Amino acid sequence: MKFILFFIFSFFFFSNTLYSQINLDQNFISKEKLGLHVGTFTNEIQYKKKINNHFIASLAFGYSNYTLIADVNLNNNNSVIKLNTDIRSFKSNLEYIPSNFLNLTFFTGLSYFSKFDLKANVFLKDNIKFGDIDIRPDVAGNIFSTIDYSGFSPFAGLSHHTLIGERLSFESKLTFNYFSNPKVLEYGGTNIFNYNYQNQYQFQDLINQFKVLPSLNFGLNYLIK
Amino acid sequence: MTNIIKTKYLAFVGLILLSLIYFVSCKPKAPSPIINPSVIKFKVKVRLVDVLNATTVPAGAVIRISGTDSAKIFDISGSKTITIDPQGNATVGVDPNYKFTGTNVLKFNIDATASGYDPVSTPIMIDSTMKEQSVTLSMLNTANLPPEIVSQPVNISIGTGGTTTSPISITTPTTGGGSTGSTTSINIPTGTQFRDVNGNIITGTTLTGSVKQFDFSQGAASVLASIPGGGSVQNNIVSSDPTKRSVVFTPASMVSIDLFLDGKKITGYSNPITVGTTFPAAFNIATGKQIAAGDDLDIYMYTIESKAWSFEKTAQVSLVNGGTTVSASFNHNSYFLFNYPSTTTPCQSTSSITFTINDINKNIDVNSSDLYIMDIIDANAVAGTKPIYSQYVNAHDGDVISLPSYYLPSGKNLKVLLYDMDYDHWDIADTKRWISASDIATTNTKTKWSDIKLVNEITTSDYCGKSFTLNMTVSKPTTLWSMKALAKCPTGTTTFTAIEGQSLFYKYQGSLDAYRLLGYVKNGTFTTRKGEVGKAYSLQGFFGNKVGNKDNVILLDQNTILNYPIVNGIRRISADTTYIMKVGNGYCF
Repeated sequence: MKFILFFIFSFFFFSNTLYSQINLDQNFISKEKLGLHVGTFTNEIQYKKKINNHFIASLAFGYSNYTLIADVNLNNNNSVIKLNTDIRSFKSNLEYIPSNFLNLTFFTGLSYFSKFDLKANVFLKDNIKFGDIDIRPDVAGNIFSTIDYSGFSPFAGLSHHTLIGERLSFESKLTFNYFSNPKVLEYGGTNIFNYNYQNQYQFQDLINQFKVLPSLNFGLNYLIK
Repeated sequence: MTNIIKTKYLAFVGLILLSLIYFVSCKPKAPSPIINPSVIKFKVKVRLVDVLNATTVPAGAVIRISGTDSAKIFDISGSKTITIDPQGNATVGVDPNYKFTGTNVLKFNIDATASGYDPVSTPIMIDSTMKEQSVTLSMLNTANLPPEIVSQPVNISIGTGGTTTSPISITTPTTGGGSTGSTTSINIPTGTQFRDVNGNIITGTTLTGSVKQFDFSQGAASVLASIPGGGSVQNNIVSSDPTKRSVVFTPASMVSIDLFLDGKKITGYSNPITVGTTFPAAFNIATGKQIAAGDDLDIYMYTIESKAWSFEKTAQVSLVNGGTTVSASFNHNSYFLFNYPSTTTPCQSTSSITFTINDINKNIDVNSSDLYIMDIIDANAVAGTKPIYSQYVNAHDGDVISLPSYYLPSGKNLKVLLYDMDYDHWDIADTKRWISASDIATTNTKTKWSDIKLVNEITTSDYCGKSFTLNMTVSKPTTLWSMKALAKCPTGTTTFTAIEGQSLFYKYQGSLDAYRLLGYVKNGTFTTRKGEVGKAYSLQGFFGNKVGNKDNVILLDQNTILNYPIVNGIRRISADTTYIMKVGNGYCF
């Protein structure tokens, strides 16, 4: 269970760190552009400035508040994980375009998250046995955690663009993010899980193992002007 | 060109997959969940004892739950089978899926049976305010009765056919061995046939069984505890008269008839039988005078099969040869209780006590597991009277204890006494706590209750429906002994914390003493001030039908203890003592 749980958790988490840019076909790019990105989890407004035919600098403000619900297995009990993010980010980005026809872009930059809360809740889906009692999920309770990723975070990655129209493109992106100091603000549970707060330090150690993490995201870019 | 783009795109996708494989191969070690099995929040702690000897647990005793809401009641381990530990303790509780709404009250019976003992049953009521109750079931050893209870064995041939051919008279001995005691005669008329529990006529030739007489004239604890259905306070009496449905019994006499015809239990008769009981003259609470000829007594009947009291009738008292006698006719067997008509009724409102104990803070677990004994007695009762109600209290500053109103009389001034416990004074059912001072003087000095420390007491005005504050001054200990009580699955990694409120027992290592109750688990740990430095102990705890023992737990010598730092004025020792028991798969999530 822990494996799947962490996978879903991380996928969602890092999907929110998508830093899309208005990197449409080079022919479309002028000196300065303002664009809007709507991604699977992240929404951004971006300002870009073309340095030369291979480099683009950009600034962006991102916002994310999403909830993801997925099935997981908790100690052989069917469970549901509910993940919620609340993110405000500012980002500076430098893109490198190696050729003018492959639509591939390499990028690196630095983000500042003024707010980056990730809340996770795991609920049982089915009754569980306690002796002869079938305890209902709402009586059994849940395990929860809140992680704070706020602060500075350098990143690097590459993306691929497909032009859909004059002002619209579809973007696939792989980003590697570095987080120096993720903090587990709370880790615990309710009802039968209420003593899991004792695992908070162990969970912090777990989170500390993942300072460099990949993320995959998809989104639409729209060029405003 | 298109092929180049496809190749690049595939490479891009490949990179993504490689990244995910890398991520997956990291195999993070997430913490295993900790399960707190304290899902049962409304609990009744049951103590089974012999009427005559509070430290004797009836051998082979079995507890079952019956009654209206019995389906909602489980052992504290979640099992339908109630587990009794070697000290005679069991804990039952309400299905955690059940939600109290409004003034809902759950009603059920705790029934106990044991070979050689009369079965007992006590009704329990739980509402949303009563998270913990204590009840002691006193069982009567039929081969070793107290002097206030006498039994007349029956072995009478009635001839063939199952119909009496001549009157049958059965008379009990007199209680107490003297003329001031009580006695009962029953008379079965000629031509009487016998019925089973279904009302069917049964046949046979030999009448066996017993008739018992209970003498209340001395107010003995043993006989009061023998009133079936939970004692003198009754809330669910069947009666068409609303004034008889909730009554605090003030008995003059009680008789039980338990007969068999060729081994088949008799519950009824085709002709009424006469029950005549003679008892010492006493104060009649209804008239305010000594009982006199012509006074009425209320007769209540307890049926073992239905585990319920019902009001039957009233009967006039007559004086025969200086003795007070009441006779009445019945067509069934039962417990028959002859009661001075009383206007005292059980309290029907919630009452509570709030503890103010500056030095026992529940949030920092100082003394958090230690127990006190709370006795509730009639404020006007003479010294040595058995408490109306007793229970262990795990008291901390700000704790609110709901008084067991359903089991207490209303309109009474009560005295609430709080006693500290130690190795020799710990048993809530030990009658030595309330025997007279002169008797204490003659008892063994090691076990006498005069040594027990009375922490505080309050006297309430009519307590029913009110809240009181009980202040306690307890010296803050300088050294605490603390440990964790854990349970683990035989396989897997799931760890269980101890059930909140779970009892932990202890005794000196290697001694022949019975295990004593040390206290209750609080906040997932066990913290007590009762360990003696330099002593070794054996610990024992229970999780359902699993027993956990940890022997040779030595409280460190003084020099070693001094190495532990003092934090907030308290030196905490043996903090890492972990008390582990293995639990079966039924509890492993």
